[in-house]
Amino acid sequence: MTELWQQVLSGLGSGFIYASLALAICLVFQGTGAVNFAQGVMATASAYLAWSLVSNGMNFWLALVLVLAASFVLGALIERVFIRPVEGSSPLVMLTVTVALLIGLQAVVALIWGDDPQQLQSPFGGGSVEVFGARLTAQQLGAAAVVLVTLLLAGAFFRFTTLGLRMRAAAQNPASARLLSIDVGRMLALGWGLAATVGAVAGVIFAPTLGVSPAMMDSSLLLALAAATLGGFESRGGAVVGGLVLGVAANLASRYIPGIGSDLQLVVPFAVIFLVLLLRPQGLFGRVSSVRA
Amino acid sequence: MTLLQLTGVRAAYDGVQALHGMDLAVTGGEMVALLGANGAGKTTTLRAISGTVSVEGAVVFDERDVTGWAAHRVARLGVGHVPEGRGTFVDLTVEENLTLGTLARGSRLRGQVKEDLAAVHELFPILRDFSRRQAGALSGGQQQMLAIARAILGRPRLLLVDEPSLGLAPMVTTEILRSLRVLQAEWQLAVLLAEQNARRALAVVDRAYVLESGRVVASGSAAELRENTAVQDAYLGAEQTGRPA
Amino acid sequence: MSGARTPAVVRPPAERDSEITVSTSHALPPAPRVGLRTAWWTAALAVVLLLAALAPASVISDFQFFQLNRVVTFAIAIGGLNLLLGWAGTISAGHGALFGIGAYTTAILVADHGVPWPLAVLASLVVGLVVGALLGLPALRLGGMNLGLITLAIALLLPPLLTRLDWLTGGPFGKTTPRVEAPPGLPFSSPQWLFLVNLVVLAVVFWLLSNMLRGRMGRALDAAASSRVMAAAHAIPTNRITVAVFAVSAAVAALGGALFHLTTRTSTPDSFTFLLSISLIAGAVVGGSRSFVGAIIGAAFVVFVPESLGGFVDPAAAGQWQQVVYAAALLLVIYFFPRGLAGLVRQARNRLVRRSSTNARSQEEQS
Repeated sequence: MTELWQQVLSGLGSGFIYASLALAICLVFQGTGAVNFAQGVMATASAYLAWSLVSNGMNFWLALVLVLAASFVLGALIERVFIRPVEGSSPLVMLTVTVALLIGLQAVVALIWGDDPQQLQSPFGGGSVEVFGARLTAQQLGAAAVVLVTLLLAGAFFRFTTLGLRMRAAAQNPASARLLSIDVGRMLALGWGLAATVGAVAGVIFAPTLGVSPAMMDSSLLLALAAATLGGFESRGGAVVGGLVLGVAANLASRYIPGIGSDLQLVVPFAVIFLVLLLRPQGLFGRVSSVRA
Repeated sequence: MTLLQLTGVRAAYDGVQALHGMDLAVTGGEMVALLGANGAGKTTTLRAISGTVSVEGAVVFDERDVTGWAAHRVARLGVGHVPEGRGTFVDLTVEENLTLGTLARGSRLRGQVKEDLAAVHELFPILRDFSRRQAGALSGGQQQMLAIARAILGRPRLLLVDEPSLGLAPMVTTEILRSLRVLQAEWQLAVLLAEQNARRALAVVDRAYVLESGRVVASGSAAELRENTAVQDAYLGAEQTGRPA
Repeated sequence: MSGARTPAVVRPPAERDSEITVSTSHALPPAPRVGLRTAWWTAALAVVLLLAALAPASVISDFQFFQLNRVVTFAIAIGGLNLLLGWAGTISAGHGALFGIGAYTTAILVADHGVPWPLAVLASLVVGLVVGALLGLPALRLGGMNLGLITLAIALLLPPLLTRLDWLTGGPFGKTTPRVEAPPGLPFSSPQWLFLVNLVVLAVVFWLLSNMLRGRMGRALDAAASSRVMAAAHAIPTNRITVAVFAVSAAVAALGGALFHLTTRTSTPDSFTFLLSISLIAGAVVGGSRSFVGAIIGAAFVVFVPESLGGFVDPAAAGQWQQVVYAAALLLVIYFFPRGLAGLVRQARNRLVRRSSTNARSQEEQS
């Protein structure tokens, strides 16, 4: 029983990575209609940036703040430069652009920082905490807490601020938003910036566990895509829940289902979404939207 | 004082010309109708003004040449637009839709949001009763009210309204047009109303332009146009004018 | 330029492939407006084949044939992918894996069961068709982008699966098969012979596909891609068509993979990673996903661009520069030539044709 509880908790821990990346993917999708395959590698770049600052002697938290600001700017810049020219194009074109960003940015990261994995010290120290009989490292607990706070802040931002409301309006009905003097282009860039920031939180805070390498976010990206599919790309909350669910499911499966080691762990989320999509094509939390010809 | 002046405005969609040199003017505080059949260019004229279609010619609003401006900048100058199809933010609540309206107003009028909201609620009580409901769940007529309320809460100096009667029962249309007239008088708003149903429109507006194939073919005061036999024949003919949408 | 040349061209190198070519001749309904185009292509193919067959080793080396074989087999796979990208309006992030499944099917059948390679290649085609149908079936319920996600899963899972199933696949060392030799009596080196075979297969496959797309299937796909709702209103079974097209596309990719294995002779799990799937997409987009000429251009891009980088960059970083070039090429093509390089070529040709015809017309009008 304790063993199961332990596995659930540590699955939940990695679930937070998927949840925040999935949220970032949703933000971008709702705004620009692009499934951003580069979301993971953008977070990787953020993690490398943090590693560079910390290994040059900067305090972790100060580095985190700087990196978040830089990630915001980078995300908004990517929207302006790479996405703007194809705004409103078919999903296929959008997808191709983000795939190009994925392979390009990943290569650039590797060219700048090299292929070898780097180690970022945990800001939470090496201790561990007991939670109802399960043992969690301070890093696991602290990282989860930071991401949780980020997710809540993001939710509050969209729910309660006028800027959040404007962004939702621009995402939902850009033509109508423009008539209400909303600069839709700026909102989309903000959305990308915000998504990059949310992704960066996950990338930096989990870097001590994941190790800093060009491929560090690869499997997380896939699980995040799966999570967004599971929750429905239209639902921010659904994506977060989807991420947590998949984190637990993947961890339990690789522990308890014989034959699924860490190399085939990816089977689990895809099996889950396969089933979900067959039963509920709009995702667990998505709404069926009527389509007009 | 002339608030809006269109001179020789031409516009095209995908190479198909929709406006062939449109000339019209609206003075501050008056209510003007654009009449004409489907495809006459009513919607395109409104879109040319709000900057949602690209045009040649000159669009001057409040002594500023806004030709070619991005839509959100034109809106910021004080042009409200109730678009074709109502432009409802379906996944947002009614309240949020209205808040978006108030966010569009200039900083000068920020202090007045509460009173204005109360005035709008008084005019359209249904919007207060359903304020927490998702806007997409409203009926067509309610969404039309929401669209007008949202645009008007931006306190524009010129409000463009596109076919408010489309798809609505005559009773509802009359109610909406009457409310529009009330607000227009109270808030010293200029209104440019595109309407296929000429009889109904001429009952509320001061002046009107009659459009045909992207041009103005007749204009005058509402009374004049009601008397004008040519206009009667073309647009007022039978009791039920305009095709059912 | 008459159609009478067609059999004369296809027959000589096709002795062993007769099962493919013969079956095509009656499987197809007569398509309209194919005659002249087919004649042109047949002639072009004939010239290339003749040159390749006669070329002495001093002109085209075995290594160059080896490279050309990679181009042609990639081109076949990209042609299959184009069905999805260019016509069905959906994406497969897993065609590298389907390519790999085709390669492994041939490798296992030839290496472990002594099956003659032409039969093994056909078996790959069938396996690809079946796997494609199984993957495409969820599309009966799901939209196009979800199909993309499922294919992504296949792309990522194949390499670890191939490593894991070592009793079947030989594990990390993969499978190696003997060299395919030209039939006795023909003076061809092995890569040269394979090139002739590959080229004929490419021609036959592309001919079949373009006939398929010109017919009812193509019109239904166009309708479905422009508006699923409209297509549904016209009683076009979009989902069933998507599944069928996905299965065909997968079969073609597997066929390409099978021929690719004959060229490289060794297939290992890391030959068919996600990067291969990405490369195929890059090739399809760069070449132009609504064109079979584009598939060939795209395949040449995939094979030769990384190659030509070798001389300029630090070999340790060559893989990364290759990715940068792919990314840049993808973005440039999408921004500036949305119809791909093939579209660029066609545009230039049309402009020339139009100029000459408008000149003629304006002269007529003036008179």
